[in-house]
Amino acid sequence: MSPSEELKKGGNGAERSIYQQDPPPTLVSWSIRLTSILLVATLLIYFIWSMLQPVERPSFDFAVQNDQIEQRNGNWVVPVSVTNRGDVSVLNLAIEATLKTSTESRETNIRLLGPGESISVEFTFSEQLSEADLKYEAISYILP
Amino acid sequence: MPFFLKNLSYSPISARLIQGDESKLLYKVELQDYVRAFCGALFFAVPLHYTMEMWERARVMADVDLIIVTVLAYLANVGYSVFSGHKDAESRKAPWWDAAVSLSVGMIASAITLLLMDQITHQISFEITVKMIALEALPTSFGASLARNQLGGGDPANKPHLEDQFSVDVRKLMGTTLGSLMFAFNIAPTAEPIIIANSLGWHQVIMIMIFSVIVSYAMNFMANFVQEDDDGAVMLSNDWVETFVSYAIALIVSAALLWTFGYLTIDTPLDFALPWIIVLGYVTNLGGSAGRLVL
Repeated sequence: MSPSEELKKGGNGAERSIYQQDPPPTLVSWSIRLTSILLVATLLIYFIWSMLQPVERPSFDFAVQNDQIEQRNGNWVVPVSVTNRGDVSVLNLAIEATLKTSTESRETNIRLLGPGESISVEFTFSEQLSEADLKYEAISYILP
Repeated sequence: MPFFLKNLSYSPISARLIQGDESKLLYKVELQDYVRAFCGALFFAVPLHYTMEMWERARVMADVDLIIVTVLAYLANVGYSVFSGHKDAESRKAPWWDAAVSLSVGMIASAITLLLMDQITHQISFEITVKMIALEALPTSFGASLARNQLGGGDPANKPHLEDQFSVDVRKLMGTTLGSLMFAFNIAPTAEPIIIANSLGWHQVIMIMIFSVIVSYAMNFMANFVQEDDDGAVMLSNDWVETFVSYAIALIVSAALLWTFGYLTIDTPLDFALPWIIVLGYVTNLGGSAGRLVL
């Protein structure tokens, strides 16, 4: 921008720079400006830092919520918390829960699970069971 | 010298501002500006906080893409602050600073709303939380920068405005870009434009293009919403040239938005990409036409 473009008429008709305010801001306004710059800069620095970190492939933790296992319509519903321990999101995550004592298994699908995110899913079995009776496996997922 | 070091003067806390017959403490007027920005931010962008695609996009968006869109959003906010802004007096505007304030107001307003909407919980990692706030803050900051346009207030029309420093051509191009971005941001994250485009034949896509151009021409040159001031226009002095150049800009904005929300990549076949851009271009073109009138 040329110096001549920097000048314009202020509210009182006088020429002023677009960088100049009339009247100048108070310290209240300056504090808010500086806090804003700090906030935006912190956000950008965080993304740059995050970009430079090594990326861990998705891996999953499963935790049965024992205290919430309940009987519904003659079946046993087991809520399981699934956590993505990797650094990337996964799409269409298919999880299979299998009974250790038999081949009975159930499958469920999670549409999207972000890094570090936990989601609760439910598996329904015909017999009462506890955490020790089940094993879990992530059958498939898509990387975005 | 960097822009933020050009003028560091300040008024004492006891400084008063004369507004009409009233004398007010300047810092109270400034606080009113920030409240106006906060309200404008929410008014404009709350629908996007209820949009699932925005939450999902934040989970898959790469860090580098978020850096790019944040920087672009900052520049767009500078433009919005020139044309509108959140301050009630032109003489107190400082677009480069105001844009940074709008972004941070957008971040705060988004964080509060997402928390209230239960989208920030202990089950969601810090990384996703930050990304979600950053992405939602883009449209929210536009609302902050457009607070005066949306919710009223400000100088009488006969006072000189910051945008007067730009040529008519540049004003029209900026109005088109900013208007199309503003209007289409509420639709671009959703899957509907893609679903619609995928169901269309090429003859329908061409019809959309023709209709987009006709509506744009009608809105700016036939409906007589405002009297066009073409004095000084060089490149865009002809109505049809202006219409087609604006449509081209609207299509570029459309492509940029589709890229931002992950629908368009460098690998997307042209056969798919063009209908998507043109279908969303219908919306961006309407926004661009309105932008030239309103901004």
